[in-house]
Amino acid sequence: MVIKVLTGNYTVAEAVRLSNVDLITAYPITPQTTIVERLSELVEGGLIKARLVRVESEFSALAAAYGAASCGARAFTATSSHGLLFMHEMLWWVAGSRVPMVLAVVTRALGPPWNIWNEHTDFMGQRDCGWLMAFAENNQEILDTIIQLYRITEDEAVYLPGILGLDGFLLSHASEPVDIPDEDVLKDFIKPRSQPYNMCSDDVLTMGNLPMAEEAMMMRYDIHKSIEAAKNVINEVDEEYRKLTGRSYGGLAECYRCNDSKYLIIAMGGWVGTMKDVCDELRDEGYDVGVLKIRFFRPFPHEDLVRAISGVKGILVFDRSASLGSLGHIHAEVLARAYMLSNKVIVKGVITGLGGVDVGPKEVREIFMRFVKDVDEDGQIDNISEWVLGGG
Amino acid sequence: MSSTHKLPISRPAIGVVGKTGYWRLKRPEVNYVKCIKCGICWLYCPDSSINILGDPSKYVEVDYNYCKGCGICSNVCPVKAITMTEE
Amino acid sequence: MTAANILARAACLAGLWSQTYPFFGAERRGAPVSASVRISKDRIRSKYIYIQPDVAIVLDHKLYNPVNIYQSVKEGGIVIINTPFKVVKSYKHKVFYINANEIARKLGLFFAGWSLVNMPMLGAFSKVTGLVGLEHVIQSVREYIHGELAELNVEAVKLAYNEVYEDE
Ligand code: SF4
Ligand code: SF4
Repeated sequence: MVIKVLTGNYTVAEAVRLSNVDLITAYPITPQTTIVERLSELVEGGLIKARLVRVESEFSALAAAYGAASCGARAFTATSSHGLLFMHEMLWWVAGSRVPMVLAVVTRALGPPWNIWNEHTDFMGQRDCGWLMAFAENNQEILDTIIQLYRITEDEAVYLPGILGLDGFLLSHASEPVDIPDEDVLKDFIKPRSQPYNMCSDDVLTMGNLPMAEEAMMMRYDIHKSIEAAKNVINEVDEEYRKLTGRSYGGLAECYRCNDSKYLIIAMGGWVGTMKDVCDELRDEGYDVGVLKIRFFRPFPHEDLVRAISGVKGILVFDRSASLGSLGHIHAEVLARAYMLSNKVIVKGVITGLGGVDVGPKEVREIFMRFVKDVDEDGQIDNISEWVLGGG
Repeated sequence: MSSTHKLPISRPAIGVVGKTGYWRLKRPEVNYVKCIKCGICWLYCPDSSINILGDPSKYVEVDYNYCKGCGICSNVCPVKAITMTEE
Repeated sequence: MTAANILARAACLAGLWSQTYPFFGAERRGAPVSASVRISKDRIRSKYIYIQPDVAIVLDHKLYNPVNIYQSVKEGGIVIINTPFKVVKSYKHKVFYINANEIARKLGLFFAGWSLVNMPMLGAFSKVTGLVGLEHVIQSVREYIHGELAELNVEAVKLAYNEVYEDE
């Protein structure tokens, strides 16, 4: 074990080193660039025994990683924002053909107007592709989750690719002490590459041939079931990892001071750390509040959510992305489940932090206090989904 | 390859949708005197139902088990050596 | 950014937790840049950019209007300025001066025509705040910078540690 002060992006590179990756494809885009820069240094220096392929676009970055992965290589690539959008079609190919691999998405706003700062819209745009989707709260979790994702995606119950999201700049460029496990510790955790079939074996195969309609639907259903099945795998892997390193993240979601809480804050990503600090302050002041951190957006932690909201009076969901004309992405998921259980709980969504708008403890506290006042005094809220703009 | 998943994977095989020769209403007949052995019919057949034998007297041969009678070979033959005849 | 990371690592060596942020979007040589460091006894969970610092390190007295710096630092906080002479006084802060350009000149610490003053400023920080020991700063410098340059920077850190002085 060694503690290094690393940026989020350098942490990604460390995780790739520890995961015995065979092939990395690299195409730079702010704020992802230092991931592939660092990886190319590590490959050049012989610290990662992988091939690094420089490609001419993000589409090719995923296509090349996909090709190698379908032929038995453990593959990795990373991107952001418009690069991810350019990759989007390939994401369907990778998931549809059940080829495990890992993609890091450093979240960034989409233009126009041109904007390099953080929001989660690019990540959320991949919601329906059939990838597992995890998100990190801090640099340590970036390291641990990438290592875990290779295990989860290559589990035969799953056999699907996975994304790790990390907040652009807020994590990607922020340095923190990160505990890097020794390769020895992970010796048995990192398994040999596993996948459902190999396109480069002697067994001549065709991938993606025209199926009958019913067969096509069966394949979609199988992906759906496999994402559901990933829940168990995620929890088991989290537990196995805890035994080795002492670090556990609660699997799909982390419930922070949720017990007996009357109010629940739900969010995903770096700002959850800020919310935990605010939660501690509010608890000290006598508010019964907890924080539910969404660690996996796909599969969505429905069971954890159901457990966390029983007995809760008001739920406040923070989204760093919005389905324009509708709700925040996490808010919509929470609403659906909450109302299946009970129509008494109030579920308010707050959309904020888009385009790089900074959200600190002051903002979180203000929004929370306003919510508590509405719920306690009026027993209802006027605006179920509120945009809290910056600069006020 | 062993997996319980429903995979979008198939193996190449002859006649995976059955003997499409039964669909045929018109039958391509090759006139080997006219044939100049260019192989264009072989290239164009959408069902890979033309085999190249390379024989001087019989350069190509239609596999009537699978030829569905679409007439493409007859259309693309540069010397009109293939005629479509009634079954 | 380099200085911020070295300071964060020094804090780590001193048994503290730390976190750094660059001033986003302006990491171009020649443009005014800033970086922030949070240091704490406990793990730092919060993730946001806005900071009202307890201590400000000003790498060049000409670059920033000291008055603006005074406004952004907490009342009663510390401001350490690289300057050959005393600048505008603040009654709300403790102000310290160090002539880091002179230290860089003496040691030949130059890059592309710029004096490398960020390392000596960390020496001054260590002395003034006592948050991280001189030995932690020196070890961290040696981890980040290699070869002859490392020792020159260590020398610069030590000189600044001894030369920093308070505004009367
Ligand atoms: S008629 Fe159509 S199917 Fe039959 S051999 Fe010619 S091209 Fe092939
Ligand atoms: S296209 Fe006509 S000439 Fe060419 S090989 Fe076929 S039958 Fe012969």
